[in-house]
Amino acid sequence: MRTKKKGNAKRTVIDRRTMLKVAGAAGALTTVSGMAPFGLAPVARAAAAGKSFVIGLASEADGVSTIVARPDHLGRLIERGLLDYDRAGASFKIVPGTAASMPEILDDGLRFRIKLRDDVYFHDGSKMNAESVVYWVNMQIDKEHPLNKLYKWRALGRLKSIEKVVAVDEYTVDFYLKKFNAAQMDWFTDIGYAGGPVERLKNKVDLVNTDLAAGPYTIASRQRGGATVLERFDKYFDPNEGNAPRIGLKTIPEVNARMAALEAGEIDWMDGLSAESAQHLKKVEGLEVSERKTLYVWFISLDMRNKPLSDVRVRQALNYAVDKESLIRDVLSGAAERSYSPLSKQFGDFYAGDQVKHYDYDPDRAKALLKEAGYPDGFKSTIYTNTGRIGQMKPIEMSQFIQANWKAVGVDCNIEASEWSAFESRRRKGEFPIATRGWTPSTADPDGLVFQNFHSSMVPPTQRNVAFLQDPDVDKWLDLGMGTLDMAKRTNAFVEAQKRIAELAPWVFICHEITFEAYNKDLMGYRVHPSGRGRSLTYAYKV
Amino acid sequence: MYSYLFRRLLQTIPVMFGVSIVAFLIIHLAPGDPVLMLLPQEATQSDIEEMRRSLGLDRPLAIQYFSWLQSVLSGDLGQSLFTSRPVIVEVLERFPNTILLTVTSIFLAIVFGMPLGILAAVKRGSSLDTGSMVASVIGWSMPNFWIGLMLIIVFGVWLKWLPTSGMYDLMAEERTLLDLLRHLILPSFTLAVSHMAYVARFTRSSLLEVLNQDYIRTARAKGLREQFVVLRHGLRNSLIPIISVLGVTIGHLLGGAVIVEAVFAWPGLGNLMIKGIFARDFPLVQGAMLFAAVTFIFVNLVADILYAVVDPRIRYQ
Repeated sequence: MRTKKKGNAKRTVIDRRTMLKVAGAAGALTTVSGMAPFGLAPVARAAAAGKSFVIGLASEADGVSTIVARPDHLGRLIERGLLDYDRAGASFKIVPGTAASMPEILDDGLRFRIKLRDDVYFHDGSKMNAESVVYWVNMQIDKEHPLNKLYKWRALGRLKSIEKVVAVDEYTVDFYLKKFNAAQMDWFTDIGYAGGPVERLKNKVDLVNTDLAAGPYTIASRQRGGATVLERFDKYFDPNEGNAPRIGLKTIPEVNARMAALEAGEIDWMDGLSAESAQHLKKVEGLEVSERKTLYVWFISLDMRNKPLSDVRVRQALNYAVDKESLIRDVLSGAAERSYSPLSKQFGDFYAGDQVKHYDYDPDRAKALLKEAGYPDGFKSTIYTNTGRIGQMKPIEMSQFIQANWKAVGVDCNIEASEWSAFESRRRKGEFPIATRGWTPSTADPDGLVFQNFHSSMVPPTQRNVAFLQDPDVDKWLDLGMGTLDMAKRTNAFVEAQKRIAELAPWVFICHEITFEAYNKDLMGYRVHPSGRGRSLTYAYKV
Repeated sequence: MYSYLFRRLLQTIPVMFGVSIVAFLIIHLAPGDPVLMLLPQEATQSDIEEMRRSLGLDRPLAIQYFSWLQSVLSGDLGQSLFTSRPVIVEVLERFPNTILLTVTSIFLAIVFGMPLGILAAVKRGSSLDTGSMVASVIGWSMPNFWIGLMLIIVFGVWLKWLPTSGMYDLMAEERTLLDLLRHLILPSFTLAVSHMAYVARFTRSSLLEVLNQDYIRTARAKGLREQFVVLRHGLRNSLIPIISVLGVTIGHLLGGAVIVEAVFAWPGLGNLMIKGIFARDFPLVQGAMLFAAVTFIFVNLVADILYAVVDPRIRYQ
């Protein structure tokens, strides 16, 4: 920069050289600012058996607590509910989590008494007691609570049964129910009941981004953009869990890049694999590929209010006309199990696939039934589906296969596919006579899936029974199943309900999805958990 | 100069206004609803409507836009629907990573592209010229996600020379510059490939034009060495169009970074945007798009000013 004299006036002129210097400096500054993440504190070492490992994920957790965000896999590793699905046994069996034992059922199931362990600590170091559970639940359900308006609580659906919660003594909590809820045991596995450190909560700590959970792992570092490192929480109560000193969570959105990272040994575990990808990884040395059978069901709902679908023979014919086995083999590359009723084998004793009416592929029978129902030449209709989304399998290809099957028996359908949320909002209103849908139950209690989809009180626009099945027998069995905690009675009721549902065919029963997980052969102590998201990884370690 | 600068700054106002409308409309008019993604599957219709009300999504689009614009003008880009953090914080956390990737790519594009272009111009018509220009057409045409995946397979999976994703070794005790550079090589090269080709082609044609000028003949007639003629007299004068190309290139690179960041799991702005788009996180996508656009406008402004600096003949009156 220099000063120029022009006449009597002085003028400051920026010359080329100065400009170039400024530009150079600006360039250097931006480059250096790009290196801002430098100097991040190294993760502290923790003593534990086995070596650390890294898991690869499709998306990053948007928060760390399940009650206010979607931490997915991260949540499974750092959080622990009062009750939990059995991780060591990798099943849906409900076992105590931070509770000392299974709940005591009082007042004919209107009050549940839970005794807490006296050695549970939250990740901020404070001890868990009855007050921490009471405060935690109240801040979500009590509209007058000082924290209630601060967040959009995600666990409210599982807390809606609770009238009030009372601390009986330091480690005992009583939950009073508004009305009887047979699925309550299952609901206690939800983090909505888990509890949190009262002092921190009272200080309005940022719940989305602060780890206040009580699980075997705690967050050691979390870099936005997909690199989180967990380390074993030394005050965790169960010495059998948390065998790896650390678990790295690496987000790699692109599935092929994630597979490459697994092959290159940069990650040790990944899930959400398609059958084709699983086939490829099975051939890679040093990798193990396991299938995960799910609670998931993919079906076609048939609106029973109007002709011709109001005739049970037509609905049964549509079931007989679909070659489920070929669909699974050819469209899904074998990554599914045939469905006979809404509940898959993963529901354990509630499974009724071997007792309900089977609709094995039989186009002749389908034609005969259509003829009997007064449609010897079939009829025209539309299959409504969506353009695809995680959890919907391959809706268009599957619809096309079914369209061809139905056409062979005279039922001529168009396919109308729309974007997911547009599709779902119309489906919920009961606008589609024939619609596809995949359903992932959020708990292993049959209530969510069977009751919501088939009870006569659950019809649209507010509820999910889009087939408009309103059958007194089904209602009777579902009410019975929902009205008792006696497992033998519940099982029988849900099995009987499924028998009746299969007979009435409000759905075309297609399949239950199988997904795949792949992991390093050096990863020990891991069993694929049917609930997914690597729930049993808390037991895993690398050798 | 100052009045020119002032006028250019004024001109950016309507551009930014336009960008804000586009950023807002694109995400709002796209099918999909953040509320369905925010709520669990069992949510009832009344839960959905209540959530929509609480987020202000039940209001007419124009009102939503103006209330967003109002807060943007007061410096508030809003809060992410999913992470509940201020959008500006999310963006500023990722932005340096994208800049690092982009600046490295430009550097690679210049370092490899310009010599290639010079060689092609000097050896015009030779097999070297044809070969390098064919290579640059191929480089320019290949989609960068494909190049990225190929590089990952060759250098990450087969040869195991370089890491396939991320910015640092996740489980390392310390984060070193060397580790960062190792992680930077594949994504920055992937991003740079098409621009290398572009720079090479542009350098070639621009240099050829200059080399036909009279003063080059004079320089040669003076008996200067050919190297000196080409680099000192030829290249310097052919740089001006190249600078304008680089200005636009930065825009392309910012756009290309979205794909490359997703493939290499690079924690930048592009990755953030993809996540926001899939989740229909309206405030996040709007904020990030606006931020990227402002950056692009600013970079082009700087490129315009650099013209005058590089070439004293250009003055803005």
